[in-house]
Amino acid sequence: MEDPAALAWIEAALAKVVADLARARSLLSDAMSRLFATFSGLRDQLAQEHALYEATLQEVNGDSGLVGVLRDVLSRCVEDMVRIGAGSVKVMMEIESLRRHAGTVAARGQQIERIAGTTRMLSLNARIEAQRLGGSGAVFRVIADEIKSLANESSSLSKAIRDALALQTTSLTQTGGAVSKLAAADLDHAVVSHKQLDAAIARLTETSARSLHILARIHAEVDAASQALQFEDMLTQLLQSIGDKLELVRAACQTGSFDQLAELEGRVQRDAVSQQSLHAGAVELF
Amino acid sequence: MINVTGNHDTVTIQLTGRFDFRLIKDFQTLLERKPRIWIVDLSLVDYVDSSALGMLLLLREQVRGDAQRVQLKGLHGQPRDVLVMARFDKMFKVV
Repeated sequence: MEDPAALAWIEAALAKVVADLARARSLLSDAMSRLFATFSGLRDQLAQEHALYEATLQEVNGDSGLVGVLRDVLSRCVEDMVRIGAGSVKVMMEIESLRRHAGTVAARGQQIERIAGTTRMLSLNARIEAQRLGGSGAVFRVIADEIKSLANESSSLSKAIRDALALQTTSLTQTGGAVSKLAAADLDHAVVSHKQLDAAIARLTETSARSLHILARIHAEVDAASQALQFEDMLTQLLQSIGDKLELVRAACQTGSFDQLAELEGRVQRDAVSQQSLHAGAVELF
Repeated sequence: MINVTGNHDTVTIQLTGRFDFRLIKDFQTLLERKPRIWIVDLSLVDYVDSSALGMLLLLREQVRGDAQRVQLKGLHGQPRDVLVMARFDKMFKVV
């Protein structure tokens, strides 16, 4: 300690070390600023993503969302099919009633034909009788011819009605066939679609819950990392303390007076029991 | 296939196999009856189409929309899926 040259060398060396410490503090501060900015940006981005995700879920799952719209469309589709089914059943029942009426009319037509046949027979008999009476039966012959003519006309009319009824029955059968296809709509596809939609919603709900959980975990990790960055304060203060101690040593070397080194000893002892890790609690200032 | 039993108060319609448009004539005849309560037993039915729903609605119309007076019994499988999808479980009494 008495060698001035050695003291000068130590003092010069300490001056360089102190300068290096100052540079280290500066570099650390710069790096930490960038790191803080990065984590802060990450937290903001996560918050935005979370909000966006919630909005998307609302668009999908909400009452007026995609799922609600799909359910509504499907329900309307089923309602329409049921309505068509009910309407078709009524039409088919009406067709069946018309068929029955047509059968009744056809039976009446046959009665009319039978009456016409009987009338023709009567007119033939009347004509034979008129022939037998000779000149005095001329009037009967005219009446008999007239009755025969009426019977033929009635028979033709009955045949026309029968033909029209046959056409109508054919038409009713074809209409009934077409309506029965409408009435017999298969609803299994709608049931399958309903089940698929329910399954898709269940999968979406599960995936959403997992995604939100992951986002929450990332957020917590970022918060923890940001909190961990507080070591910058500790490190900066530690570096400052080292610098101060070295300054004391350097000053002692410079002046050749080592009386202040007792104070240095005290500070070294005190710092030894200070903050040792980030997990030890709140940041302890030197 | 359709089998009808009952009296003036309650008529039970027991259906078997497919409940579809081929039973429309039978239902038309059935609708001439006017019991207080209809019971439609679907426990032996394995398929219904849209006309079956239409026929059930006609029964409901006949009792002026009184859900308690048309009872659906033995719902299962495809018939249950279709009827629930069409919300018939809300429009009829399911027993």
